[in-house]
Amino acid sequence: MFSGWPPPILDPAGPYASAISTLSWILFAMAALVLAVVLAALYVALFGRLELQRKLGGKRVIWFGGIAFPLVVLTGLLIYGLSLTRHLTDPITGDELRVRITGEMWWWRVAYLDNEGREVVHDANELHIPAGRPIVLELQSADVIHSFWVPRLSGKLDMVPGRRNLMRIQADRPGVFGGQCAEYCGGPHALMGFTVIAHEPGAFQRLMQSRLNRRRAPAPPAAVAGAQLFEAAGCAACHRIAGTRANGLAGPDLTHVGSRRTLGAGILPNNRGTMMGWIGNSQAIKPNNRMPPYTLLSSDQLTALATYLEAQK
Amino acid sequence: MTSETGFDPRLLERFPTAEARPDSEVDDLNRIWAAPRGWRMVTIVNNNYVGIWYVAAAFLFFLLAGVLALAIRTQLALPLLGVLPQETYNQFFTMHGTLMMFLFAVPIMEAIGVLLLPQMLAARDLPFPRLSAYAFWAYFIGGLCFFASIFVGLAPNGGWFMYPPLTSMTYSPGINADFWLLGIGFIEISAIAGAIEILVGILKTRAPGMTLARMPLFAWAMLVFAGMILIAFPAVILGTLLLELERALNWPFFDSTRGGDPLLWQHLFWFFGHPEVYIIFLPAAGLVSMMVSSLAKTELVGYQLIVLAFLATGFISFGVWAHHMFTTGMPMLSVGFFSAASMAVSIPAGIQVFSWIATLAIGKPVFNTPTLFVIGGLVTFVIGGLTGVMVAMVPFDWQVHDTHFIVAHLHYVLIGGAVFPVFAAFYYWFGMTSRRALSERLGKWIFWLMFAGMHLTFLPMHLTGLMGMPRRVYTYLPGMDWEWTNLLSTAGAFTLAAGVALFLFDIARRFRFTVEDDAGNVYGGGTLEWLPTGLYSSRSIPVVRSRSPLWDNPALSGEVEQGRHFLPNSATGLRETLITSPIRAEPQYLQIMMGPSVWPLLGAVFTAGFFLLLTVQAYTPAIICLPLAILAILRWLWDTDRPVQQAQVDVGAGVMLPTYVTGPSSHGWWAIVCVLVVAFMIFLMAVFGYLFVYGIHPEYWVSPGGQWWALPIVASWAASAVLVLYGWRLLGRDGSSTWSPTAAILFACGFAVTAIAADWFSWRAQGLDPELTAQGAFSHALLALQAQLVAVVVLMGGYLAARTARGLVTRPSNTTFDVVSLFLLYTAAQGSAMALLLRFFPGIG
Amino acid sequence: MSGLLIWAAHFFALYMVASLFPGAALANGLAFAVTVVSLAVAGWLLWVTTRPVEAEPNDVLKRWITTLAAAGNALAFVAIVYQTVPTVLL
Repeated sequence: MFSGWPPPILDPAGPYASAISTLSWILFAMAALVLAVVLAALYVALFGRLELQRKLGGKRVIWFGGIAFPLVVLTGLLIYGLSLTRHLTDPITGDELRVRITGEMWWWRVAYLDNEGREVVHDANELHIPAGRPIVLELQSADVIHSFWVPRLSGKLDMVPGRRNLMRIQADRPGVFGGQCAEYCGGPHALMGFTVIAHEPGAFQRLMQSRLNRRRAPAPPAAVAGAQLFEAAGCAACHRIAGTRANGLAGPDLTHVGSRRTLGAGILPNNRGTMMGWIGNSQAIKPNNRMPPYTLLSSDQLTALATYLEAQK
Repeated sequence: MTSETGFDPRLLERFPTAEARPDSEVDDLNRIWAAPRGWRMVTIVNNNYVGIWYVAAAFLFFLLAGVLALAIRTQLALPLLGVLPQETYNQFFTMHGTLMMFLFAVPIMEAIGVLLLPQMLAARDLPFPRLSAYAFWAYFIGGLCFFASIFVGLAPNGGWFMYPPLTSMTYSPGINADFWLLGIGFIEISAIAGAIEILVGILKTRAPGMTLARMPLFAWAMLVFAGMILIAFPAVILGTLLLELERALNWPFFDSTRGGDPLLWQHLFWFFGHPEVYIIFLPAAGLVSMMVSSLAKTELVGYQLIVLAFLATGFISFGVWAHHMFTTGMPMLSVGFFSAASMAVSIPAGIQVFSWIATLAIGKPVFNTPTLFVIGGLVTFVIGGLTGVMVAMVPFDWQVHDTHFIVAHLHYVLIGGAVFPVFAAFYYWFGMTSRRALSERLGKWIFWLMFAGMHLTFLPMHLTGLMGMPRRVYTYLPGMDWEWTNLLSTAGAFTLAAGVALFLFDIARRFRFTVEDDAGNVYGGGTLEWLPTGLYSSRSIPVVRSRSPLWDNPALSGEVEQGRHFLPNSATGLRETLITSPIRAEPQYLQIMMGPSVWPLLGAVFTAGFFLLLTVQAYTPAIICLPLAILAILRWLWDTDRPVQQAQVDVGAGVMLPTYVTGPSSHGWWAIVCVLVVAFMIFLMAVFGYLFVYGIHPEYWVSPGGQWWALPIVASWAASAVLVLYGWRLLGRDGSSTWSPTAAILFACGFAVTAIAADWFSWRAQGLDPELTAQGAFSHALLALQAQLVAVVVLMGGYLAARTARGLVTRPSNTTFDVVSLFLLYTAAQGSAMALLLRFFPGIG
Repeated sequence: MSGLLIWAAHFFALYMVASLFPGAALANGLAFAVTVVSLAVAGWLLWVTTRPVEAEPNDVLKRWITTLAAAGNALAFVAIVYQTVPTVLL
């Protein structure tokens, strides 16, 4: 999940992020150098020896320090920066794995696409990818502008209504990487996280296969009550669980909710307790999110629902 | 010697005159320029008063926004705090940004300009004192009401950038967003009024001999500043207008489901928004340039290069707006252009920084409070500039964009580039308006508290951003390692606030408003604002022969005081100032100025009333306010443009100048040209929007049909223009009746109404629905813009007719007549362009 | 100011080219052509403004303004070159 130390921007886990990380260090060095020059000049100007001050106090200094010096530094940076931009935005070839991610207030809809561009596997707030190869993300928005950002894998890219932005990410090794919405999208924008899980290619293949071929397993006995309640309490109006009658599309797809690492779009660890708390009163956890509180449900009912959802792997 | 206007430069040699003038003339000046007392103080229009009110109001908003910042920092001190609930926090950060940018940063620069410029240029006042008063009152009343929305929980909450669709009716159904759109749109109008005042003031009211090469650098900076406002602000005015139309009438400019595009808003907003940063920075750089020279007690090194830097910044800053949009998925090539321009803009900044350092090096700076603030600001600004170069690098921006790294960067730039210089200026120029200077001992405390607080707040914040914390988040989760840097930032914010509080304390203790017996030139500046002054500025207007006249001629103060320079008295017995030519500052004529009046205040009250009542959807009172506002403004204008008896007067040493001039050298002409530039920019931005959405979603567009309609419409406009030109000629020709030129104008107005009506009916006939597609919305918006111009034209026609009836239209030429004619000509040109564009652009079908 | 105005014209021309033909090789070519023209004009202005002013040797202000214009042109020249780097690299 997301952790701030070491700073994720400087702790890249894939080629796109690592190119930017290198650039960052070069920029820090540049800034330190220029700042040192300016501070040294300022020091001499204020406290330096007289003959040094004389040298500093002329138009030549402006031409050298204010024009020539920045010009050299900037030209170098510009050429380097633009080449890097080009390298990072090489044309997309089309045979990469594609995933469509839609920003919603305040969660993420995830759909894995097949070769024809059809949505074949649905999920939310979590993205599984194979390590070692680039993945193309189709970023779009269902309502307002959001921005998709997983700093250890790549820079960010906005999700703009009416547009489809393409972005590439790649993880070199298996791991879990946190991300979050970076464009202010109102209300609980602060609590709109995301998780990317990179697998060994083989493991990823198996995961996708199992999801593609998912048959509705008979609910374990403990979950039967929950399954009935899921329909009776109205959950199915907004949520979908593939293979059941629950087919709501307003909220996150719950077909694989049991296997998710987090709840509430990256803000809570996923276990039975947090699931019960979330269903009972998500407004207390993430104020103003779109899910109504279900304070009328008894704790037994909550347990039943949580047990059922836990089984949705 | 060459001359710009035919004025013989040798006449300037007559000054200073040999003899002192009688003291009774000073009494006359005092009487003529006396400020009303008691409750009538609100009618004051003199820049000494309005300037200080303006500065105080802007500073008040700085404090209010600062309090919001403290609340924000408290909420973020630790994860999951509940100091500010989500909605309140979102309102607070929106208001913090909005107040700081729109109600503090730009107004404080205009305020300092209103306060200092007349003295610096040795003018009696700015050329349109009532306009300054109007701008101030509109800003102050509008700003306070806008701020009050936070107490009732109706403050805008969509961020100071107000990106749709978050701010559209669908996602922000409350009136919070309307407060922003109408409130800020209105305050922008006041900013433009101030900018016109400042621009004309700098170009036309400088002391004789103060050529462009001798102008104080603050005046140079303000000149570029005002020009930039005229170009940049129309973009945001148009943007707010479109968004408000979308919200109120459901016209889809930014709605992608009906062919609009949310990114259009971002283009319009940042086309204003980035120049805005330089609009804030340039005046501060002008102040610093002047202070550095005075504090180091030497002429500035590289004056000319700094002027170049100001001009270059002004230009290049219009090519960097989209660096706020690197992450929106723009075409890579455009991204590259904006990246390159963003880097190029740092070269002028480099010139300024090294010029200041070089000046400090050859001078002998004393470490007093203004010096400390100047140096502190310089260091801070350099750091902000360097992180600015970093984020101009596109891939780096992809990572840090919208994180706290940017928050740190922008505060370094704005605090180092504007706030510290403004505090230095408070200290440096305090002696001009107060009987007692500020305490040096406290000043050093204040500086160190603010400087340390600033860096403690924002230096760790860079790291917070690199650690991945986004902006505009009302809280964060534990376990993300963001606690300690946030805690440091909060501690820093309170340290900074302590410095500001101490400053307030010192102001309360020391500030005693005065114009005559002020504390004076504490820091030994060499420019004209340090001449002995009264409400009329300096007693006589000196001939300027260098950049620091007080240093080069220590006797100057005495000469000016004895009335041995221009205009030692009131030549006509009225308020007046010398109008000079824009490049060489050669005396051209004597302008009669307006005195105190309640009408600018009433005009501002009703204008504010109109906009604010509209916001709270009290439509009837709003509609009542509008004509009242117009009446008040017309009433104040009614007093203007009155020639006096004496056609020529002696302005000192036998130099005779006219008292009434029309045409391109008059200040009224310059002002209306500025207004037309603003109107043109609004139109240009609307056309840009029209083409832009077409480029994004051409599939929503149809050929409107009925192209033949363009013919009668353009013909009407042409007839209108021809009539105006004919009226102009009639006015100059003796023998015709007084009414005939005015009648020509009235007929021209009639044709204008015909043209717009024909345009309107043709669209109704076509059935292009403004709610259905962006094309319909834009066509109607352009029509509405044009209709607005026509409404103004009709008003102007009526006003001109009224003046004609009262025999106020002079022959062979008249400024009011010129103004109305120019406006009509422009309206006709824009109307024709629009009629052709709308009918022929998407293709003939 | 002429030099800076050319920079502005150049900039907006490039922006339009880039927006009208996103991603097309044509855009790069067009942008390059615009640049060559702009550079030629800026260079010519630079040459004009740096020629010694003989007519009015005593007019300090005129010299001052001419020098300012020359420096502006030089800066515009650099800025235009900068502006073109993306067309080569992207």
